[in-house]
Amino acid sequence: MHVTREILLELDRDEAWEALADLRGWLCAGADLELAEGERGWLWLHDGEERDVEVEEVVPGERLVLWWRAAGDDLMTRVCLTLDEEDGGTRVRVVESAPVYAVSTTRIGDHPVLRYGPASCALPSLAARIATFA
Amino acid sequence: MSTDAVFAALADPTRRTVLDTVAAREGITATQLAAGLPVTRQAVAKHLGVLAEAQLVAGERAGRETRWRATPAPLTDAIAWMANVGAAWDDRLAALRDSATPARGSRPPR
Repeated sequence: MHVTREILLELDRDEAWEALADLRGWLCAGADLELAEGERGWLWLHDGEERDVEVEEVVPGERLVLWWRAAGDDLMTRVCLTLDEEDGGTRVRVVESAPVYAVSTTRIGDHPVLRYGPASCALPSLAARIATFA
Repeated sequence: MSTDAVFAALADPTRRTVLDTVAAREGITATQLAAGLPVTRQAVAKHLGVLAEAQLVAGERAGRETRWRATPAPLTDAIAWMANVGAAWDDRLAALRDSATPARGSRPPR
């Protein structure tokens, strides 16, 4: 399953990339990460959450692909940010995708807790229903 | 099921809280929900109506009250993940725009 969002920046491609690549300027409050393929590091998000990050691909001016997960979380998701220049600026598109499905809900006290598993864990009927959103 | 209806239903943070609570407490009533939220029973009933229209919850009459349950929970989990991740990216991309555009002075004055 995946989530897509996009925004149009009134900047040319190089300026948009410069802003995008400065992760501390928008994505996180702190970072210990070199933006180069294969690098691993950490991001501290604005809400205090710590993310373990691995850089899959860096194509300046075009694309940045990361894998990340919250500290202690088993679920690692892929974040693909792409830039496309068009009339009026540069469109930034993000696709975050999870290679697993949330397969069920359980409870600890009053709190609902999600259980995740690989796609093969989901019942075929459920997988088919979820697939319509993937 | 309409994906648009599902995302519209989940776009509201109070509605997501209502859905989370219904998922955690099957059979809960609008009155019980309102007791735990900073909104009126009428507002909760309205939120439940939107969630029901998106087929995220279903209600069953029990005397004068309706008891609610999430339907189906696993699908709800997947959609909730998408809604939460999507909302987080809406905020981050807005922050990117705010960080990128003032330098150019291109943002219109407020």
